[in-house]
Amino acid sequence: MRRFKVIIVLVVVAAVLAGYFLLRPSAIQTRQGVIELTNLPDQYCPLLAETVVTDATTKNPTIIANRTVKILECRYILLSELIGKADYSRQIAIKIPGALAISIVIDSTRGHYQYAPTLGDANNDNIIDLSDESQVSLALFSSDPTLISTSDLDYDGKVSVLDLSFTRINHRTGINRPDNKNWGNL
Amino acid sequence: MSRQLVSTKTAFVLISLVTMGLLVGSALLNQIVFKAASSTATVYFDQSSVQIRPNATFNINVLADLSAPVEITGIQFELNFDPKIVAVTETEASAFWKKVVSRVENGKLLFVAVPTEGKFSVDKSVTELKVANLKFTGLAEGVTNLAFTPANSILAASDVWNSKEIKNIVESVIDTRITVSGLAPVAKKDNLIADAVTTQEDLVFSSQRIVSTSEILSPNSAVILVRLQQPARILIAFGQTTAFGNQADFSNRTSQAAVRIAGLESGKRYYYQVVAEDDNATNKVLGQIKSFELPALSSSGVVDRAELTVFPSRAANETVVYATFFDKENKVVGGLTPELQTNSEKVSSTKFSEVAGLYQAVVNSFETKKQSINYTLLLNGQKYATASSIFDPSLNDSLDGSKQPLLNLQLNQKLINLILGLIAGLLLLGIGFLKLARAK
Repeated sequence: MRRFKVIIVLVVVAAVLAGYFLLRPSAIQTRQGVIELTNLPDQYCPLLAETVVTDATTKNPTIIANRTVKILECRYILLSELIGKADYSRQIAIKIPGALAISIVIDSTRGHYQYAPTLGDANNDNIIDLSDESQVSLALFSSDPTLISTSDLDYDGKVSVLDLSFTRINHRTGINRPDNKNWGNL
Repeated sequence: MSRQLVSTKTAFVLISLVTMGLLVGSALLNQIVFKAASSTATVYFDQSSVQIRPNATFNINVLADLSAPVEITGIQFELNFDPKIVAVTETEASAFWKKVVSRVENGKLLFVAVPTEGKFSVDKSVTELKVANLKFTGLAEGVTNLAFTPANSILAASDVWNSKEIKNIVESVIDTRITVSGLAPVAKKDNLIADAVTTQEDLVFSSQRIVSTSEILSPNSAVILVRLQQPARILIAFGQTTAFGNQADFSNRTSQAAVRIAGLESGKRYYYQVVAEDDNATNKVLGQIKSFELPALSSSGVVDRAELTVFPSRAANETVVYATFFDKENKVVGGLTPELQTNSEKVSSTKFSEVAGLYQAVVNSFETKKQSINYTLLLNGQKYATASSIFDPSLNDSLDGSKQPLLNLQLNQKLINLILGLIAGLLLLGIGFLKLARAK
């Protein structure tokens, strides 16, 4: 009789587990082996990212790769382009146009990593401050393509109060390059 | 003391129960996306029409209505007027705001202001939030509109729960009319504030909103579905650029309309703007400029999927069902004979009529009580899409737009399956516990 009861409980647990795994397709379908840029304006479409890869397992990290990589579909950076097939811990510093640089630790080339860039770095000096604010303010309503290209932070084709807002609410500094050089201007 | 507080069996059952609870909860959370209501804004003036004498000066405030809590990070507008009739004398941002740009060029006022503290938090829906004060002077006799350019009217805001994302929340703008005339009443208060002549209709129209707009596309036409807060005349300005150049009207005064635009080119992108205006065309509400790309007509004729839309989704006794079939390349498939199935005998529907890939049927309700109808789109006996609508005879068309359902829940097939699965699981669990209890 006791065995019968245990079997009933196990069957119920198995049924619930089966239901759970059947109902979680979204988790399975997430793209693997990428860093995904999230929480960005719809039109924002950076083409390139400047990256510096260091070894995260040692005390004094050494630079392993220093590359400008493509951003696929405006949102994805392929891990295979950054760290090849080596499947161990790496620290990746990333700078994309108009946003502050950040650092991510990658444990696996098959993982899915997300980061929400902080927009507002109009002059790409890796600091969002009054200089970005005044650059965007001067370009408001401008039809000059050069001004638009340097101050249109959300890539909607015009410089508006939306771009100005990014420079005002995000005053901070991005992470330095591991070799302490300046980030290039993509 | 040696007596066990909880028996091994009870502990096992409890742990199983908690584990199952966690798993089911996790599965449910995985399916449900929690989204707070997004705020939308309407930008307008505090006076719907103004009459002044030449050389007189008047003040007018720019106001905003916000539908939900939000953090505002800036406002921008482009205001058009006839520079021969009025001139901008002064512009001011309201308290706690800082003016960044205020420029007049070729009959346009370009204005940008930002909150002095970076963000301006609004913790509930508000009306008549003052954002700017403008001072104009009448130059010569005539009539001009103070007209916002919708594409350049921006209220930049970040949702409270996601401060990194900033978007434009302006859904509609309302213009005002300035009449400069020697017959206008003499302005009071040292000529600073003009006498605003506001009729009852102006007052009603000032609370007009464009609730929603969407479109149903076929290779050579589009049906624009519009819902307004209050009945008005609906116009659709459209064209292949944001300059539009064409206009389609819905002649009846209504709060919801399906406006058909025909004679379009397949594969081309079109821009459109919904305009709601009162009977005299003096007050207008302009919607945001939106765009769509018309699909091409399929050559394969093989149906992969279908879309079914019912509009209006809440009606007194008549609604229209629109169906479109697509192949794997998202091209529209025509020349089909689809059927519409409903779950009630108290409704009747016409057969689908086709116009270049867009199928349309009219459904009438004979029920005197409120009823919910589920529609199933069939093609050769195969089910392709479902939709639902509500018939409520008590709905007065003129008030329809102001009534909102308390809960707008939409259950899809997946969620229904999940709920059924959960009920079955709980039933099994109950049987297991019953047997355990009996054995004890």
